[in-house]
Amino acid sequence: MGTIDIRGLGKVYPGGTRALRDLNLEIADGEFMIFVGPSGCGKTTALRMIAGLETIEEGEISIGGTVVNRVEPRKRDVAMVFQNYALYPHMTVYDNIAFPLQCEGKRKQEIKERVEEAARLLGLGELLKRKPRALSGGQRQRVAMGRAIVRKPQAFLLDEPLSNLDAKLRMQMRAELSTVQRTLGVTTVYVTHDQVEAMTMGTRIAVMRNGLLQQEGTPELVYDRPSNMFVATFIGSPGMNLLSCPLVADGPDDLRCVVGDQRIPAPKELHGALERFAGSQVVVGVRPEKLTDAPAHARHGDAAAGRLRGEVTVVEMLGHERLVQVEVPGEPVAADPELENIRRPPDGRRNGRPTPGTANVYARFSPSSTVKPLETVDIPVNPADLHFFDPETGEAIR
Amino acid sequence: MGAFRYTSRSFVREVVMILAALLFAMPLYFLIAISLKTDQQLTLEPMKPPLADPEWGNYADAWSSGGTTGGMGRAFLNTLIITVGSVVCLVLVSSLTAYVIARRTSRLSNGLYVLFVVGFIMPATLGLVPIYVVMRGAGLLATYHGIIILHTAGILPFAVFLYVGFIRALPTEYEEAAQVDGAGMLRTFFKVVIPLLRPITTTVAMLSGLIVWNDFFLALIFMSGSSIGTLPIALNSFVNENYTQWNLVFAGATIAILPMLCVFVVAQRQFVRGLAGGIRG
Repeated sequence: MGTIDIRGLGKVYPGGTRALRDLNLEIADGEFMIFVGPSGCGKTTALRMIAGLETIEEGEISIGGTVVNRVEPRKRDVAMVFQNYALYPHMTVYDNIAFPLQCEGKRKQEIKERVEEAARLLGLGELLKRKPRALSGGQRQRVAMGRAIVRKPQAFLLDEPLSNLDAKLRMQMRAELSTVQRTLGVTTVYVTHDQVEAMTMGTRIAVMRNGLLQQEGTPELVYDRPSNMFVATFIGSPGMNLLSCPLVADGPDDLRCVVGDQRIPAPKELHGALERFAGSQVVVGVRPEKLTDAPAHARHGDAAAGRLRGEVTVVEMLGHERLVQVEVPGEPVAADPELENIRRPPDGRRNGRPTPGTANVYARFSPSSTVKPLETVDIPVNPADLHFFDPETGEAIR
Repeated sequence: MGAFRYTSRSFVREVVMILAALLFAMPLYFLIAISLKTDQQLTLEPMKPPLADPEWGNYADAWSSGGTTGGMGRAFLNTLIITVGSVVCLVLVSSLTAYVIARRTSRLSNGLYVLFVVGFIMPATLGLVPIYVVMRGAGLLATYHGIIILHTAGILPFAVFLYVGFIRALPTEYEEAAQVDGAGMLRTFFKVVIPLLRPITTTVAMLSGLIVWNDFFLALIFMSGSSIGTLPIALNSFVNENYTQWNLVFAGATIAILPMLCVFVVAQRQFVRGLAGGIRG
């Protein structure tokens, strides 16, 4: 059984840098688990600790029910695909794939059969005599995968295996990797900083930041019910729109957040949790796809009791939709200053830094929309689509 | 079509390069030219190329008449045994040592590295007398294994220095991949690391081979009184107090440099890559 059980895992590198803090996760047999987060969040450290390439001083890792803290990498029965594939440059594709079996001392005939089986599965049959330098990026990636699957290990560990491929090939390999994983049914831990890979490939996602696990769950759960502002903005492209605004009680059982001259009602089911914030600031979040140019009644009937009004700053035509940036009244919120800096377009563009007292939000309009920059738009908002976060802790209010 | 393929700048550069190449080729020319002259030609027309009637017999004479026991042929074999033995020992010991120094971050390995660098800087002649005494005590004088150990130890700091620099620039991912793939330390080293070190191994082997092949001083001191004469010793025997046959000396020298020249021509690409560092793969 390829279950991986991580208990209280922590890592401090020599020099005092803490890379990982109290990680607890149970990865079921056959599960496709994704560790996702920005650079330096501890995801690769966690993966390397599972592989045995980093020592474990805090916590415990069990693979298949056996604690492996002091077990050498070669005896953990896991296979790893590295970011740069780490194919042995002096060996042919055949020898690269056969290497783990040679280490196990398998007979030549068995090695041949298993290498050919792996090559067939990955479409490498014609390339077995080539050296890695004669392969394309995608082919190298397949060979690395072949070297991993040929052993039939308890778990696959993949460290950003698609990050060196171009966008088109990455999409193709995403599908291939998912198919191979499903076919073999081997427990897989996959590290990436790309939230699209996380959303599309994993059966479960663990979002990490600064060495701490932020949230884990199915892609749908993490997307629809982010546990904090970081997860809300990290998952999704673009991430969730966040605005800081006052929450006011307009009457008994009527809480509203004030965005400029608009008073958007809070969903009834959250009133209990939101009551203690009445009269103070809250952070309101809404996914870009919930802000569209479709008529309000077409989406949520008359329940659209709120609207976001603002000035269009940028319109990006993406073919299947128009991504519209709108400047609305309110205070922008930085869920993660580092992340905000990466996402923020260069200064000088209108959308770079909103004017004081305003914040930029993204909306997804239909491709036929005729909206143009500097136009004022009035976007209906369904209260049920709103997420609320505590401005102090960043945690979701539920 | 018809355009002059040089700019004025590249033309001047190419002429300078050709002149430099000719300058470097001059000693080789004289070496071969003189080795093909008779005594008389050498005295009367020392600069004239011996195109009309080259004296190939000089090579046969030099081969058979080297001053040591067994002539140059025997000296050639002795030098080959000592050079190959020293290079093999040196590559094995220095690569293993350097691997541990480069991959371990402990103070001990850093201290060891400093020790090797100091050994690299210090002139070997300083330790000549104590080394002689130790080798005499251990019965290693005038033996193949004695001189092989001496050469290996003497060049070790330099080889370790080269290997450490190369290994430190080598990504650790290959070794980590081998570990996860199920390889133990020895298999990882011999099956994965050693092949990755091929460029620097070529460099170390060529440089150390050249040093050992051409060594005169250590062979003279530590092999004296034995029948194990090396090529430089044999060449020296052509030089006589009263009369020196320079054509034979040059023919012998040509024979002596030929193997090293061939090795360099065959492995020059690896040699340069080893010095430049890096792995392509």
